Amino acid sequence: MVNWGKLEGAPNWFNTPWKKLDFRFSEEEELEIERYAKKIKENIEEDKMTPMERYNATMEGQEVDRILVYLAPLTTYSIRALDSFANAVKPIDSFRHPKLFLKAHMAFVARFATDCIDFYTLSYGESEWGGKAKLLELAHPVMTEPGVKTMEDADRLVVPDPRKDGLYPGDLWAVNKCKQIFRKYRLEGVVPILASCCSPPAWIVATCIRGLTNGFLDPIRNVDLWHKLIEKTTKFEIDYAKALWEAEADVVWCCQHHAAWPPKVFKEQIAPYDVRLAKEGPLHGWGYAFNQEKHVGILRELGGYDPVKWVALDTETPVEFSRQFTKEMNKSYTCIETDKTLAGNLKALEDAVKAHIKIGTSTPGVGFGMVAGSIDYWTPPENCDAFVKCVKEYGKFPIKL
Amino acid sequence: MAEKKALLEQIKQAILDENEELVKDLVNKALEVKIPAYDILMKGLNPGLVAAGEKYEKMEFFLTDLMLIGEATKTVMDIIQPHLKAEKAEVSGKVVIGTVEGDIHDIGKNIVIAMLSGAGFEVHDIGIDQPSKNFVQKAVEVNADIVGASAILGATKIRVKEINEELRKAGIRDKVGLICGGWGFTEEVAKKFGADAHGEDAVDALRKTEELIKWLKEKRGD
Repeated sequence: MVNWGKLEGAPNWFNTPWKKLDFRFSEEEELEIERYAKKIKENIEEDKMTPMERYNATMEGQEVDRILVYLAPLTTYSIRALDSFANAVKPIDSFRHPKLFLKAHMAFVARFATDCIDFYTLSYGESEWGGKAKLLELAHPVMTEPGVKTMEDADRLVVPDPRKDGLYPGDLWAVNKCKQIFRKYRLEGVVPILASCCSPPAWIVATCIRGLTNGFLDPIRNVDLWHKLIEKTTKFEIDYAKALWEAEADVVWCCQHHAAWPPKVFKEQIAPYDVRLAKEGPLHGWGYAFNQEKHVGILRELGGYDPVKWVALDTETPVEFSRQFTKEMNKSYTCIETDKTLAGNLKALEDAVKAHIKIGTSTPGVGFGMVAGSIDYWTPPENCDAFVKCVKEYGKFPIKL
Repeated sequence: MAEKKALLEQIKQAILDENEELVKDLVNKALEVKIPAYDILMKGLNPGLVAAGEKYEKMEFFLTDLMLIGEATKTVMDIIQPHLKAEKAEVSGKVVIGTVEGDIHDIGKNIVIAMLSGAGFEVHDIGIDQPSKNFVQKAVEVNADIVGASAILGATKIRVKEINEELRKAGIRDKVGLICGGWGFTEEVAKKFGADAHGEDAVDALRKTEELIKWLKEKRGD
């Protein structure tokens, strides 16, 4: 067996089964959470539909009062909601303290009045696949030394269990705790709880097992090793998705980023595993990033989009293509505004949002939502406010753009 | 003469074919038949890289293609570097490049290094997870024209602002161009952090570096 790796800076609950995690809230924290829950409720009081109704209707291409809108802040940005964007509390604090992770997400939704709460993974598996890793102050953990160097290492590698290994239990605890809180304050079934099981199988191999350089090139020049490893990461990913459903997430989704590889390599060495994840997770949605038209076409051909309700393609993919592509599959399309537009000037942001709304809603009967994901750390909160406000204003039906 | 020209063309094609072993053999052969290292660089390697860049922009080549070409380029540069020095070959400019503190990603940076080397730049790679001071220290040491900072992890991009400040403190900010790159960077954010330019990808990074060098030379009256 390959020894488990080490995570430099790991919290003391690392490798503890999530159902045994016993993080308690103080009286003050209970009050804090109650306030967040009440604010979240206040934010949606005036709407004709609850966020859950809006979400479900969007998925089915049915009529909605306004376009679904939410922010997917990742762990690195959501934490900023806890200290009024003072850069005092750091992302590393969120990775080490699941209570902070949970409160940050609740505070975030309360602050920006969005439709969904979206928990991004605490770990891509940096230290769960034999490698050495470290927590960083301002970013997601990183692998510093890969654990698998040979086929023999790969043979001995044990597939981790997300319910008890590494940082994963903290993630599952937070999702489940959120459901309990929502239940208590009657937000269950009102505000959707989204959870990601990122990253997709190929990217776990590249970022957490072989290192980026080897990981990207293995499907081209080390194919046997590649398949040995991606089989294991696929098995893990399916299990992670299942664990998130067990933790009572309302929606489980995963990112895709495959344009690093030529289409032929993607089709033969990577896409079939994504298809399995989508079917067996199962996944509710495929997130965005780094895809190109050829790659998404391949995944579609292999049935990778059949099981999911929504597809989010990044804004580097032309919006017209994205709309047409998802329309043909009768899938809801959520447009991800990447950090590029969201962090930019407000006029350009407003223009971009309006343009996306116009195209996104051009196909009645096929759902459309607006999401801003992977928000960069320095994005001013005013920009997030502007994004949400813009979608709510221009995204009211009937659309008048 | 025709044979030498054909050999340089073969080097270009071997780069495009991502055939590192063949590139190595061809470059050694080219040196044996007394093709100047500078010609190998600018008439063999460089056209291959330019063509690869064009294919990448047309989405015919992908990141892994550039990575493999980057490896082949490094092999070529390792072979011809001593010969370039001996020939006292003209250098397009001196670049210090690294990944900023808190970030350990280097794929993009390595491809940029390949592109810059292939275009005749003298590149000093300070590595990954580098404190901002180290960029400036190296820039002073080698009398750099350009400092390049790679930052992919969202929050670490703010280090570019630090590097800008360190360049100012060292009194060389007006003599050195600052370029940054990494997923999620925009021209607007780069400028906000004090950078002179931002490379959208490795191909764009080369283009912007060349523009910066031109601008610096005009500024210096070179």
